[in-house]
Amino acid sequence: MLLLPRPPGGLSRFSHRLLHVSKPCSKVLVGPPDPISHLRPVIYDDVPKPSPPSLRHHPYSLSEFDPEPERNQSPYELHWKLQRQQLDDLNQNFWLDSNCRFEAAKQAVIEGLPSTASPLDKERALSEFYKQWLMQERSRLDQYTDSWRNRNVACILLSARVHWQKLLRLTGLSK
Amino acid sequence: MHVYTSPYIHPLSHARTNATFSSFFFHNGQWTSYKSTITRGPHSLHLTVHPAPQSLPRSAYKPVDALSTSRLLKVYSELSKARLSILNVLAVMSGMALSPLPTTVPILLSTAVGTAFCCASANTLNQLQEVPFDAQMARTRNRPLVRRAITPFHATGFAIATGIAGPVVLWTMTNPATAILGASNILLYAGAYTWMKRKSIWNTWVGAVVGAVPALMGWTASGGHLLPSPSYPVHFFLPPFLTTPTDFPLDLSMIDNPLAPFAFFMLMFSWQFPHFNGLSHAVRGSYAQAGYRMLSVLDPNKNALVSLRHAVLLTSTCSILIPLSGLTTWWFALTSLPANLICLEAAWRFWKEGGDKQAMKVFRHSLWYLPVILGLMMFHKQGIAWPVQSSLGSDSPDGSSKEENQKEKEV
Repeated sequence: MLLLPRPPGGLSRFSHRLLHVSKPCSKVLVGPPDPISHLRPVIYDDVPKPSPPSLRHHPYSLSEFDPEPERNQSPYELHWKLQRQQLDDLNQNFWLDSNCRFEAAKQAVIEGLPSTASPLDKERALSEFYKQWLMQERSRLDQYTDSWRNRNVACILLSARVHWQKLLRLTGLSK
Repeated sequence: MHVYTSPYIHPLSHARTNATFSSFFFHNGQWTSYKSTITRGPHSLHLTVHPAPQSLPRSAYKPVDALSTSRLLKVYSELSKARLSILNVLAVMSGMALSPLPTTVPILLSTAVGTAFCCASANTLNQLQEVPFDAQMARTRNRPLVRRAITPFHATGFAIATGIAGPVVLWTMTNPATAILGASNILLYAGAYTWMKRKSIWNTWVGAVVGAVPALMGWTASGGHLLPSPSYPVHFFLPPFLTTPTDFPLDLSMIDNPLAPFAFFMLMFSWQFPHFNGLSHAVRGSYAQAGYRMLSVLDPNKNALVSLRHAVLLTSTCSILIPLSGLTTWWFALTSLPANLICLEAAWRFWKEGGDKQAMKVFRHSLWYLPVILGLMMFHKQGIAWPVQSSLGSDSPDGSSKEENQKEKEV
């Protein structure tokens, strides 16, 4: 299956940001819903910083380690944040592709109707299209649904792990 | 998740495909400039290049509002689908109101609170699992998890807290049976129904059971029994013209027989179908786009037929089963007939003609139908101490209210 993903939502916008932030803040920025995928893009202010633009496609995350040692995230935090970003990207890629094709196919069905078609005929043609669409997309939707469910649970558990670790650190119980 | 395969290109493919194919390899700037997105066509390996929408300026992003107490309560009520939860609590209250057994205000209130917690948990767990799908449908686009008003971790904590509190309140304040029904309903809705929505059309039937279980919860909370046993056998309350005079006065303790909660369950179960199938037909486009497997998408005719079947079942439940079980007098069979015939006619037209307009008509009828029928049931409840004015049962057309019924029961 050839699915070329869009770049991770946050990274393409980081060129506007200063790369050296004096104090990390945990503000999450949410944009308006994407016109095609209907998902809202999110910038997590506490993500790992991106690599410089020329190395955008480096296979490893070169920005994993902050120059300030005390600001380095724990492995749990990094794991969670990377998974969270990946899940957002998975959703965006899937729905962008699916909705592009759905709208194009629906438009083709509507334009294929004769000019003498009544509203009821149009409804019937669309009913047939919806049924065909669902049957056609079945395996892709099943794969995506399984992927989404597994990753969603994983992200929630990972964030629980991070919060638990923070709690231990706060109460001084961790080693 | 990034699977790269090389596309197969037939040597005799035409120029358009070749141009798209070469643009794939020879213009490396497209990867660093992010000007376009490439998707695959549905029935072939043709690659369609979509120009990317203008990348959003930073100013278009807004920070997530910090959760103050009032905002938190608003988000919690949205997560628990407050309006739906209230209707579920009212259904449980109706079950308690119709039960002939006496109940007290603490039991009433604690059942309401316990049911509200169970509903909150079930609805939150459902929303947690459906974030990207809710984003696709216009109806559900503004849910709190979709618009990132709350983190999934926080929502999960809320779901777990209410999911434990609900059954615990029900177990300690009423009885274990009600608590078990409440907990099973959470699992049925958040587990089975939500999972099945993407797998099979039978999710609607499971959802109908979920909607009808509150009726049973109300009955058990007041102390009634659900299953037949030697001490609680099934008893039929025949219409007065079929009974001999020696059967009067009615032995009202026989109302606590398993046929009564079954009849109420069947009413609530059958009602779900005209209600949901009508709405489902009208929004079948959204369901198809979001990838839900619903009968209205896969077989709209069958969808309308199912709603008609259950409209017929509703009519027979109201006309025969409910008076037979002793929940109401046989007057109910007559007074519920106009409402039943109106809904039956709308369901028939929906099946025969099958348009969006007819579907919404069936849905709108279902909205007033249930409160009217429940009101009539409470009005015609068996055992109300009305002065006997006719020999056709212990009922009179004086006005009554639910509060009067409750006061009588508490005495």
